[in-house]
Amino acid sequence: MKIKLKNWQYDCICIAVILAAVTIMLSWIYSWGKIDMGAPFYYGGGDEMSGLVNAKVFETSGNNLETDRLGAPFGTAYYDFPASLMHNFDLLTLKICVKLSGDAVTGNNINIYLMFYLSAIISFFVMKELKVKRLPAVLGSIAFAFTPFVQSRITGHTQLAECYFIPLSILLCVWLYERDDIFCFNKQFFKNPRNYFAILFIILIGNNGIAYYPFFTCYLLVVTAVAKWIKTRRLSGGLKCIMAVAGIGLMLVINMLPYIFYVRENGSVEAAVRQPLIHAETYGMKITQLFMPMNASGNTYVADIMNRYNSNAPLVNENVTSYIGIIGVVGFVLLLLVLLVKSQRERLVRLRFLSQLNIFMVFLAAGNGIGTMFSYFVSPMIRGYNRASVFIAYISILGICLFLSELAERYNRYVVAGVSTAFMVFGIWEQSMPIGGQLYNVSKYYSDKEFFETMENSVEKESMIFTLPYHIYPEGGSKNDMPQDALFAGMILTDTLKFSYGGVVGRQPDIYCAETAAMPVKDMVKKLKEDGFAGIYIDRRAYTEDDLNTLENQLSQITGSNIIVSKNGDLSFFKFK
Amino acid sequence: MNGSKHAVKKEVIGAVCLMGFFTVLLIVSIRMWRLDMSIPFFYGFEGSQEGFNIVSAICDGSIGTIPMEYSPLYVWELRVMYAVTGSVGYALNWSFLINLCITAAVTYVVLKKLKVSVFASIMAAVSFALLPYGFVQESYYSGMSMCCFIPLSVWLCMWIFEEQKPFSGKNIIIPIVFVALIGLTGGGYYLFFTCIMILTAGVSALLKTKRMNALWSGLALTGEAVILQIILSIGHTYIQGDIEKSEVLGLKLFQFFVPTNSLKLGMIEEYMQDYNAKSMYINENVGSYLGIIGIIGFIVLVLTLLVGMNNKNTSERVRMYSEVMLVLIFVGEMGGIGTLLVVLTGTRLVAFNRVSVFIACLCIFAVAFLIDSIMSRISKKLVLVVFAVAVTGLTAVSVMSQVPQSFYTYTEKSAVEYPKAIETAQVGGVR
Repeated sequence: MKIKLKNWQYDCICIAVILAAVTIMLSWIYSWGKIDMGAPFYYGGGDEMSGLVNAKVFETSGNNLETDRLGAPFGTAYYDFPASLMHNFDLLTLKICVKLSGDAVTGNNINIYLMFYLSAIISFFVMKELKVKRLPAVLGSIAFAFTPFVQSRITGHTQLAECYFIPLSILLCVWLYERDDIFCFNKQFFKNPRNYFAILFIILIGNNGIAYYPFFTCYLLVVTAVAKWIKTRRLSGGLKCIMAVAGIGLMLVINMLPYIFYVRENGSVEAAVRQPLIHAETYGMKITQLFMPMNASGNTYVADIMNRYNSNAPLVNENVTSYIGIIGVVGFVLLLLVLLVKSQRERLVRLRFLSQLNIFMVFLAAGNGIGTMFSYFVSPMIRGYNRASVFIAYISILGICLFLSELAERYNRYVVAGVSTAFMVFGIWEQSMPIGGQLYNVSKYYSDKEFFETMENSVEKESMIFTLPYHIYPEGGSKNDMPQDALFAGMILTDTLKFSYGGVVGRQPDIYCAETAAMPVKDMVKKLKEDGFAGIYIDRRAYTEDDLNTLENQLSQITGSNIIVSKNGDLSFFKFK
Repeated sequence: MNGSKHAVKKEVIGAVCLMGFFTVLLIVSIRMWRLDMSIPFFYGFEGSQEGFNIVSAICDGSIGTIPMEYSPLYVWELRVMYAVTGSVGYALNWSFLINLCITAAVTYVVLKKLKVSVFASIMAAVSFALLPYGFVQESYYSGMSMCCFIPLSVWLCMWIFEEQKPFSGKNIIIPIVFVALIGLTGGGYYLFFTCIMILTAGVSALLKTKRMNALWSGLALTGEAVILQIILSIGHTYIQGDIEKSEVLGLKLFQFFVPTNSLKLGMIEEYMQDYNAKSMYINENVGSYLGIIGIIGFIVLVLTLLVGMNNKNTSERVRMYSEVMLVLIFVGEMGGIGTLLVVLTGTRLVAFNRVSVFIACLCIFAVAFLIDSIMSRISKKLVLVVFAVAVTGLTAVSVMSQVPQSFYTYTEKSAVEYPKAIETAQVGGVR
């Protein structure tokens, strides 16, 4: 008996398949059996620490932009960074995960895994809306959720790995290019459900991707506006896209209100947000890197090419994550070829538009392109243009899925389904970077945890701890062997202690730390005692052996207390008597 | 009979106007009256020794050691010039100036062959011939400044794209000769970029018209180019390309818009200096500036990429130019396909910023089509005259902004350094 299901039932099956496939992929890539959910997914003292700080603040508070547990004795506020105000959706999911799990680290881990599911599901619905057949839509969505960009960004730039609204950006562009009923302010406006969705998309896009994704979306909308204007020869077509840009802009302005008010009250700290022009060139995207795998999958030839390029080319930095996977590469080339084809078929016209978006994205992101011009003439605040590669990846994947759907209609659909499944599964395998567990030796985390628990037990609740060395935040860079943001560890791994590190450079807590740390050790201890600090914690990796010995010997003599050292010897603590 | 006489007369007038306009702009833009032609324009700057090496090799009879893959036509030209003038300075300077004239003439003829009007052809020819690229390359790698056959590459694209029967009769001879001419200049770079262009044109024609022979002719000419390159490199050591150099010497889109001459306008001077101070990897790629005319063409071609295939107002030629330009940008861009080729094949070609002169050519040709298209829509004679005057003025300003300021400082420095070098026989006492 042949069972005939309704469309929504088929869609539900597809969603179930996506959920199962993402779970299998996660289990394979991260070996869930080996994952310790009580330890952070990554703990290297880099950018990931700010995500953990957010999670920790959410344990007790709703506002991650202010805390008295950093920047002691004053407490600190992070309104100086507009980018921190522009990923509210991600913070919302993080907060929900932390609240549900009851623990910052576990909540943060769950939030990381959640984004794979979200990306795949949102992408699936977008592809469905764009008339991609179900099979390529399912496979393409999984491929997007596991792009090398996402897999490699979850360790540090989690906010950028949370790129689940990129499909919505592309859908918005396609709608505005192809349809005339979006943002048409007439009596039909409220009767058209797409208008509601478009507004919702704008809100979501404006609250994701730390200003980068909204910016890239606005750029694509401007490209769409010009394309639409050329297509229709009417200004109104383009104006609707500009309205969408204005909508996203409005969201960003609303998000920035806390920053604006804070700066008006406290003045701005240029050192905290200053970005030189050269960054736009340094962190630009390279077309080569779109095609340069991050994982050789055991192939020595590929490994040799990767090694040759990465060890010889200049300006190899976070842009190594630009690889778009074999599916993306084929899609990218295919879209370039589509640009040359003369056809009026609906899918081909759509493919052509996607091709245009892709090309203009390359113009924006590739080193010294439109992005650098924007950086030079308008604002250097957007600097990591290589981050647009994930847009190119999605457009390319969407392109190939549309192409496979077209093939399925023209030729034997079973053959096309077989071939496309084989290709896409191979592509997903090829772009995966199995790491089999956490990305670091978990014993390091537990060594720190034990150390801070001992520290917390040895002093009174809510005591203040001075952090050494003095280190600039943000963009302080690493100091000897101490990673850039390693000094956040104390705040993350204790519940009530307040640490002096974490004040924004140029603000009062930072100035206090800098001045105090510059004093002779004896005077420093005296002042800290007067100010109510309970001890000094040192990240020993920041010092040379001689400097460390001198400092610790002096502190031992002056405080008269025994040194507490972490199991791995990285950290030490002196309690004031 | 009368019609053909009229056409010839028109061609002659056109050629005279071109040479007149070109000569005036050349004299004014390089301030020729202050130049001593016996002193090389560029002496003692980075790669400028190349020209001296060649002339020295001519003098001491070791010319055979100069790699033929370098740029044989340039070497031969210098031999002739040195034989005629007997002076290093005259040989180098006159060959440079003659190359500029040939470039203008070839551009004009190609545009005329593409049925562009005399007026638009003159404007385009002058704009292309006096691009900063030639000046900058003359001071870095003088052989590269011989870019007079680049318009032939564009013609080849058109031939592949439009010719219905490419392999019949005389049709095939001209393209073969053109490929050979291009191959004899540009140290392999111009041939490589030409191959990319004709293959793109072939694929474009195939996909648009399903005409397979377009792709075949593209492949055939590429084959010729490969054979030519192999012949030229016989007896010379193969040098592996440097990945780092391929990026450092890559194309920067931004530099299309950074003038090389501020025309003494403070704001532009500040912009030029500021960009060059803040940006990384400033090298021979400063010659990528397209000029005002080129920039207009670039914008036209970029916007053409956004035009749907159903748009009847867009010329197929301009559409094809935009596609070829796109591929050239992808190849030449810093860290672009060119670098990928170096990584994969180890090709010795690394200075992909040199693709900028091909892009400039496409952009300027697009402007020539645009000028014609606008002029054909203007019915009133007065408006036509005003438009022509405006375009002429714009072209003149564009050319003035193209000739690099460094040309003046270099020539002044050469005028001081070169006589000293002659005295100490650093240049082999050749004069």
